[in-house]
Amino acid sequence: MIFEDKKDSHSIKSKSYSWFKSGKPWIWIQASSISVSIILILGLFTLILYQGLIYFIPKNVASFEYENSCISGSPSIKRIYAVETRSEDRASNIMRETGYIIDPSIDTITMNFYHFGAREIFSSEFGWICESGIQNLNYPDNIFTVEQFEGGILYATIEQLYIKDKAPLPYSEDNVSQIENELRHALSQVDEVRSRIDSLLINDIGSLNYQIEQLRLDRRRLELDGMIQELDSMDYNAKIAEFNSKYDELNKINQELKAQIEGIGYIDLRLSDETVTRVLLSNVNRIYSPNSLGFFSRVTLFMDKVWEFLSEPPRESNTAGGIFPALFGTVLMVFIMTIMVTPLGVITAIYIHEYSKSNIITRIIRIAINNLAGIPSVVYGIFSLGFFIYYFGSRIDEIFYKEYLPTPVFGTPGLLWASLTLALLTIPVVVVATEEGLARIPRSLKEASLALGANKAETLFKIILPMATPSIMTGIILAIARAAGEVAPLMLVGVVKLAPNLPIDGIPPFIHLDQKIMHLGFYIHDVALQSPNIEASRPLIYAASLLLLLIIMILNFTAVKVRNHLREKYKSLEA
Amino acid sequence: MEEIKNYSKTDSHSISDIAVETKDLCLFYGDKQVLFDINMQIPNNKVTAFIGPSGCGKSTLLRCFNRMNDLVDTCKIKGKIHIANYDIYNQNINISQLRQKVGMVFQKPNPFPKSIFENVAYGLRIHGINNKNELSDRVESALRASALWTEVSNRLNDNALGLSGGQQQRLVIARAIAVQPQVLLLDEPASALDPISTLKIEELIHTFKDKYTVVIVTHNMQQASRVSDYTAFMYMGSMVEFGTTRIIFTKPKKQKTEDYITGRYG
Repeated sequence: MIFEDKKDSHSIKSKSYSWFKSGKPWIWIQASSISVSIILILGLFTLILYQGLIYFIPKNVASFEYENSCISGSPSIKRIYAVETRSEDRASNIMRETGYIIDPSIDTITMNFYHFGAREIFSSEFGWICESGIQNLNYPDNIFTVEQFEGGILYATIEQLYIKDKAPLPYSEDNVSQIENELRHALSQVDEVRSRIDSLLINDIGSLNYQIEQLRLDRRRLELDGMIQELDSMDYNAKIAEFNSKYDELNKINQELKAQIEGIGYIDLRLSDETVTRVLLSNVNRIYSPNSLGFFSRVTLFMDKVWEFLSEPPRESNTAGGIFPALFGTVLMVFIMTIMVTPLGVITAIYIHEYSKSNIITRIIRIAINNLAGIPSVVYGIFSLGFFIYYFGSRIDEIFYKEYLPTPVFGTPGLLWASLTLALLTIPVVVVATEEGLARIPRSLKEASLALGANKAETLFKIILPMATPSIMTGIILAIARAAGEVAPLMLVGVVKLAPNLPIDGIPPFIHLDQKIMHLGFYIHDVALQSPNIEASRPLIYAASLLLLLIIMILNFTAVKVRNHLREKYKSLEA
Repeated sequence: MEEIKNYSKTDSHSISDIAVETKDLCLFYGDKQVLFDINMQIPNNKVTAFIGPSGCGKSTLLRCFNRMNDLVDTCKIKGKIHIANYDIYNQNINISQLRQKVGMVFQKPNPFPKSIFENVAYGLRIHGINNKNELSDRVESALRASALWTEVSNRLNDNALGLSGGQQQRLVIARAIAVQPQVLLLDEPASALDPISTLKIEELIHTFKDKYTVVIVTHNMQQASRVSDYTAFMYMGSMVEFGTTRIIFTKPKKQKTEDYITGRYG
């Protein structure tokens, strides 16, 4: 009874108080913060996934008549072929102030954003169109999307197809399939010739250039050593002449192939304003009529575009084409970084944990390593630029590459320095993870090994290192994930906007550590902030972000899986 | 005490009867002295037990015999230890060989996370035996000697961590005797085991007498009385009394020993 009385007297006050006291608010705070994190992550991923994938989906082309009723003084274009990308509702009074003529009874107007293509007839490739001015909107089957290698995308009807040595084929409803067949055939021919040109440029002319350069460098080396003689000089000139004639020969073949590819045929397109424009088949990347595509062909086209994105170099100053060099550069750079950081980090951790005495110096070293993880990454970039590249790299050049000077080899940003910078950046991750792993190995196992007569090194290699592998691997994969996503320091030490030549090729020394590379993160940065055509490249940003996100997610999931698997293996020891 | 005195008197000329001999052994952890002037002669091919309350220095003394104390940075040693007539704290001593001659088994079973076979073969490989036939012969004989062979002969390649605690401890003993030591140090080998496993370990110790000098540290006085021929009672880092087990447990010379044996403290 006494307790009940007490309860009653405090009932109003104590209800909220006891709820507070019960600890439930903390659970609520935890639950909501976890929910917020999950929603943020999922939201981010969904946004990037949606925006990234939408780029690859073939979009229907609308054909409509646009009576320019909304805006005064702009040229009136009767018919427009365009792809709608998004639409917005806007308040009419604001629009009126910017020159639109809108009926006073209308409060909001809908503006659609369209891609017109055809840079020649529109002032800009993209534009806002007032929805109320659109009439006779339809999606005719005979409109084709023509993706050009140069000049952007065209939406047009086909007037006629001309293929070399054949009569021109005018377009009509009846011969659509014939035209499509002829086109496919001609385009595969174009592909064939193009790959021959590519191989000529890369293999033959590339290696010839390499030989000429080597010859020049040999001569320069002799000159620097003061060993050049008249005879050598004559020899040299003869060789150069020989190379030059070879070069001219190859160049002739190249010109012939170019003429051949351009002569395969052309296609006359009728644009929406009835003008006819001629597009060489050699300039056609892809041609399809989106409105008549079935589901299966849409999926095929989607896959084809995804593959192009992954396997082709960028075109039109990174606003079209693929990102293969960036993907390749990212992976290669991270790979080289791993080769550098693993021994460095693991050896450091082993020294700190197994060999050094636990005194003040060791503590300072450990604190320093942990603090390295907190340094802004761009500082590493500055450090690398100053120390590795300008100091160390130019010393290397002076000693080993003096014949190249004044052109620097390693005294300039490049793949090696980018990898080294990332290695420096990720050392703390590897050291901390490895040390954790070493700490988890029971002391009794080390003692058992030593008691059997093994020395410290034998114990290290036979017992400690095998058991620490899960942690080491976790550290490495976390380092990779960190490095793959890093951008800021790389801008200073070797990553550039465009480097279509891959750092690995058939020319000795096969891996060109001095070459500049492309990188996914920097590609995103560049396309987002420096693009000349932001609307065209907007979907590319998302697609590249999606790819980068996927790579990092895969790496992280692998890390977790590997760690859990190996932890399971050694679990019984950690009692 | 008398016995050991007699023993040393009569047999001092034949050094082979003394396996381990300490002379004025003092041990320090930093500034703290842990062992005080330990003088003892552990006879050959006998089981000697170290008893005493926790923290009295039994394990520390044991770890001097194979120089495991070297692992502790702050550890310093004064005095001498002779094993098989070698001064083991001599500069020139080969620690790897010393630890081969003086094997050790720890309190908690600590098999390596490797196969049963590789666990036993580990020490052999360390000492340069890589011939397959010789390895498997010696692994088998070590496993037989530790009474484990019948239980594991058909799963030698399984992970050793899958064995039970008692089996693991016998595996660890097999690992220690595979390298054919002369002295076997057991640091509370049964304290983490159930009674049946403990019994098996004790039976093993009996069989080891012919081949090895066994030194065992134990908290369990019944165990000491069961398995050992000689017993040393330690207290606060000093050797209080050392003699045959029969005398120590029936009529100890020192009051402290009697108090401990009868359970007055410890």
